[in-house]
Amino acid sequence: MKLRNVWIIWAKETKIAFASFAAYAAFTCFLFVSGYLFWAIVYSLAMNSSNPFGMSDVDVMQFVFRSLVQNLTLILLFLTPLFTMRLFSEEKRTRTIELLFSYPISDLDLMLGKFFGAITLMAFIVLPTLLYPLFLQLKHLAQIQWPVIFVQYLGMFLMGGLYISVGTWISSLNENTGTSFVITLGVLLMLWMLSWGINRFSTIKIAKILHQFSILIHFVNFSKGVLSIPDLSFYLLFIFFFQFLTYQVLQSRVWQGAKE
Amino acid sequence: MIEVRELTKSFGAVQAVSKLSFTIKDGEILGFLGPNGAGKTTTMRILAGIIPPTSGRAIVAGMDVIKEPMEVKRKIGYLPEQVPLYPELTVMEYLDFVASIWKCGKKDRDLVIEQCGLESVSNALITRLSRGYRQRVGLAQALIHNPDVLILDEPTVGLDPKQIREIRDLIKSFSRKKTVILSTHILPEVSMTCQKVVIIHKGEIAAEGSPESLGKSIQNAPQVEVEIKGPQESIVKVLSGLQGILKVNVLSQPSDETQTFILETQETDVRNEIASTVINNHWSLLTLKTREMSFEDVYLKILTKEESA
Repeated sequence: MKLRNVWIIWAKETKIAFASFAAYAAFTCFLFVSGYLFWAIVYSLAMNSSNPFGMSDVDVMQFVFRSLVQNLTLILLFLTPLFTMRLFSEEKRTRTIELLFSYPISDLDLMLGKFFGAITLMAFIVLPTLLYPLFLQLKHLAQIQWPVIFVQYLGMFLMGGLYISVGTWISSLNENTGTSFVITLGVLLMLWMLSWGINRFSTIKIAKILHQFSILIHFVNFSKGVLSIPDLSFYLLFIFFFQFLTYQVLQSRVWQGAKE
Repeated sequence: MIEVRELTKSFGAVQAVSKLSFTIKDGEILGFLGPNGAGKTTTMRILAGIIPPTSGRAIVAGMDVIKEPMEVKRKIGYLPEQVPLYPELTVMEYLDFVASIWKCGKKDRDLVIEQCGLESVSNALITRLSRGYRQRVGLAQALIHNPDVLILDEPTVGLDPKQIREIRDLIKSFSRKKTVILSTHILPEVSMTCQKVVIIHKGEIAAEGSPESLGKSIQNAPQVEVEIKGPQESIVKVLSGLQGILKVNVLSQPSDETQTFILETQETDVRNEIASTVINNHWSLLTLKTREMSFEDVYLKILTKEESA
């Protein structure tokens, strides 16, 4: 791996992503939806609060930002396939990938450059929502516990990284961006809903295993602002696994028909 | 410069290239000729280090393509067919990206922009460019790191005659400075630009040599074309009787009793005898010339020979 090459691919990916209208459209939609969501949550809390002096700080951290982060993570699930669908599918369709393969860039550099390019795009969309806690703080409406916000956003980025990793792999498998989008969305929704049919205390073995693979259950601690190492490792392993699969897909051109 | 030995590539049961061997000397332009699906692109992808061969070796600039792929890539400029580019970038942005990969400076970038005649479009988005300009951008990205070897997969497909000529002249200008492999199925391209030709068919070499020598090798006997005004039957009879003529073919039979014959002859030049024979018989001699096989004839003959074999 050469950091320089990762950087070059990253720069190219970012340049192309921001050259298209899609990035700004997603940015705008996400801000609108999250802004409305934030207002709705704060408003309903203020209306229903038992505290005559308004919201307590515990309420704000545990109720407002917890549900905001959970909802944004779900919205992100629908947006991410839009970015990942073209990562490899488009390069395969237009055959620009042939040229990349002819350059002295390893498959690993290529894959990492693309992964971090997509993470950058996600950061561009997600980070402006940090204005909401900042707003509460500046208006003296609540005392914001920034470490909690940090962990919540870290969780959102890990979840986003997982979406991107799955999407990248699916994108590397075919050259139709539409197909990549639909399959990625389907897989991510399945992962999201995995825990819905499972009773936490079920004695059935398969239920226990599925429970362990639920991306939603591992998110609970993050959404509360609690950093747990097992959950962190779960997301990192998940991301690593799908990046590994993507790498194997890229390498397949090397071992296909390499030996008789 | 390039040496290919017993190169074989199979995808599952399909053998795309089988036991291909040829060499290209420094500064030579090699025309890689064959019908669609003959294995041209596969061979070029192997040489460019994109996929490894199933067996056999390919040596570029003294280095093995399989053992030192990264080093070999530095020596090669590759232009795949259909010129893949990023439509969202401008020409300048795109060439900057390629230059950064090769660790080239602005100087190299500006040099290829000039070399490929891209000055006027350097700030235009690639999506707005005509096919001819896209082809030039494709060539520019292959040239930017000043490689010794150029691998061009069908560089003139889809261009208009003027653009074809421009690209061809550009390629010709590399002659002796760079080693070029150029695949095509346009025949005049080969006879105009290449010093050497390799014709492949179904993954195997069907013929190789210079465009002229290929013509000679395939033509088993020199042919003479003669246009005579006179009675056909007796002309055929008399001409067949001449020494040195193997066969008389009647080519056309237009009005006025004017007929064209193709005479297959032995090595000796028989034009003198034909002329005096015609005059002695009081026919009119309208045309008399030796007939060279066009490159197209050679190509088709090679392919059909392969087909029937």
